[in-house]
Amino acid sequence: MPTFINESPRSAHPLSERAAEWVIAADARDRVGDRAAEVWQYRQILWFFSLKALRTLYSKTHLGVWWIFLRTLIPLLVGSFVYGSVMNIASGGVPYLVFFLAGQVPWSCFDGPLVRGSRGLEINRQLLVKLYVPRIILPLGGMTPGLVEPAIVGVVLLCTLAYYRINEGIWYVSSDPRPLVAVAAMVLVLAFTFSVTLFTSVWQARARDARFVLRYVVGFWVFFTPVIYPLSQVPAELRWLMHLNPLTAPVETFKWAVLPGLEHSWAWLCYTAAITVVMFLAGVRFFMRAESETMDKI
Amino acid sequence: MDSLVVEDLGKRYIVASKKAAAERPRPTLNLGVARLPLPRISLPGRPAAGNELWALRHATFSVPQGTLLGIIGPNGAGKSTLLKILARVTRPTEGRVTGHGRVVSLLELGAGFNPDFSAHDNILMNAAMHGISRREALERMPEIIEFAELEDFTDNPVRQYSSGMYLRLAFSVAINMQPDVLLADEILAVGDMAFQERCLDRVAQEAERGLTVLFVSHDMSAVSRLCHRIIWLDKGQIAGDGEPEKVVAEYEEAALGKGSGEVAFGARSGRHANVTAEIASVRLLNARGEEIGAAPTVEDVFVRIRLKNRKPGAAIRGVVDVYSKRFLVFRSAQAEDVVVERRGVVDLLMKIPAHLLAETSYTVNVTVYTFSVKESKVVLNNALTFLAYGHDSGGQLKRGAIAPRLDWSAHVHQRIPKKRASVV
Repeated sequence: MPTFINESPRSAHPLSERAAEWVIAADARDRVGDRAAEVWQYRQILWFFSLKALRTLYSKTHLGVWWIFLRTLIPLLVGSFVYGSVMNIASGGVPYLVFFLAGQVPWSCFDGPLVRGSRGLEINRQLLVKLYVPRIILPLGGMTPGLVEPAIVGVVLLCTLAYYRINEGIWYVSSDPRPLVAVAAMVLVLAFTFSVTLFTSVWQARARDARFVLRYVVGFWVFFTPVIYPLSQVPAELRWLMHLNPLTAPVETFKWAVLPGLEHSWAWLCYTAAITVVMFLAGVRFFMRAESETMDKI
Repeated sequence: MDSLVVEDLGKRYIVASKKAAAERPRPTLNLGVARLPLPRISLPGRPAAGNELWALRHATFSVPQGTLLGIIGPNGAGKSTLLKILARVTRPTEGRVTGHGRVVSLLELGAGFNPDFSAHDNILMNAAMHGISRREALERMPEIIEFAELEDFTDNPVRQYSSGMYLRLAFSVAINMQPDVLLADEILAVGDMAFQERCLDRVAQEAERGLTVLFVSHDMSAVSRLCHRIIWLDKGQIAGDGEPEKVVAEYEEAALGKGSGEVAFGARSGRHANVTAEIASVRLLNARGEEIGAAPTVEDVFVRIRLKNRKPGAAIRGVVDVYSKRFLVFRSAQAEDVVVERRGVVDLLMKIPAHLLAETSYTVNVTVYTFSVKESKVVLNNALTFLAYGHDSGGQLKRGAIAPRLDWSAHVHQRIPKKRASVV
């Protein structure tokens, strides 16, 4: 039987030097550093999983990618009509449509990506039982198609702002570097969302109940976040309660950053950032512990 | 140097069972107040109650670099579990594996491929899924396409490929990623013969250069021809390890001696009983009516479906699907309904004539239509698994899913016959 010696033809093999030793052991403890290095090694699959998630979402539909626009735009139209024109919700001095869109951008960074990211493990079940990839990439890969919606809402917001600039000569966005904070608020929401999907994707892979629960929770959550109304509408003594919701601060900050005459709180934004860090660390820990057991059950 | 050192490897699964769950106190949602008449909802996150099942246990062996190792055994013996652990798809419950170099797995044809992507994109994706950089994958691209003989189809989505083309692509990607260890589950089963031969030649070539391959296969003739060494697994334990001819002979002897063609745990599925009938057992018999565990290809054998008929006047009709390596080889249905006047036990017998089966393993799914209730049927999937064996070693002459003895004739002409102009 051939054995490995340096003079064997194998040494001409350009890759033989990297025949590094590896160990699979039942009692091995996962080290976060090793996992991070592994995720980096496999980073390219993020792109393929994102593409796959996007395609499976709208494959076998007649309208194809047009669904993305329909699904995004119709709720915007209906929402701004109902909340703005019918219910006359206060909007802090700007047209309600602008206010509404400015709330929807950060919210859609949570809503869609959470639901999609939570399906990350579930929709790749077939693959995961046959091929090893660092599974933590999957909720992230599932989330990325959800970025299309905030992008579309963002473009709609810009068009609306441009409309008011042209027709009424008012440009609502301030000229200082404040709008950059809006980007930071969106990134914070996305980071928070990913931390949540570390839990929900595992639950959903184990039992589909999680999917229905998630729909409900997200459906209610929007009403406890100042998306369709300004926080100033909430009685002052209840505002701290609203702020306990980690999404309140980034949504408020986003609106403050792009629209005039609003307030926000840096302190509560820091609170959200802290919650996100804690959730992320706890999520990684949970995911690493749960994944191997979950893989045997799906 | 050893490519793989496996020490006391074990994998335990918990098979959910209602009985075990009922016997075990469950964590409940009624906040410790046991007398509250609330429905008991078991909380998620705890290990589910069930029976323990060791799919693999106490596996210890080492594989020197350059070995072609075959892994054989009946269904549910732990072969795939072993490969899954080595591929890191599942974690072992106990023991450890130490290995060297890059591991590439081919556990299922098309795992890690996307049917909507082109071959080009799939190669990049598959490489990425093995943690191989895009640059390296692009370097190997021409070799991969060339070996797979897909030069003209690189831009077509692979869903348009035939299964043979798919196999060629999958194998070519795997072998050209220059693995140090290749894990292959039943890949010899599909694809055209010419390509199979090329695959095996290439594998043998790479083994000379230090590639270690683990093949799981039911194709005894292929593994014994190709492999340097064979490990035989049975019920999760290593039952034999050594020279291919010796281990295969021991395995076949054990398979023949077993008496009943029982299948492994958990493999059976389907609704095997309804108001009219129940499938009580499915057995393999010889011409003398004795139960056998393996089918000699040179004799007639019978599949007996024993039914409990619960309705007088039931009209029943049996259908048997015979699979080999997950492919449907043939379906045989009873030509007419049988009307059973009384309650009781009914045996349906299907004869498989001599010289039809090939020397390979078969799995039988049984469906019995019970027409007394409209559109109703009873089903038992994986009802029976058996090996067919011949008395001579035909080798190359006996390949394929069946090996029927057909009429051949030879006509010797004095002259070359004239070509007819219009043969349509």
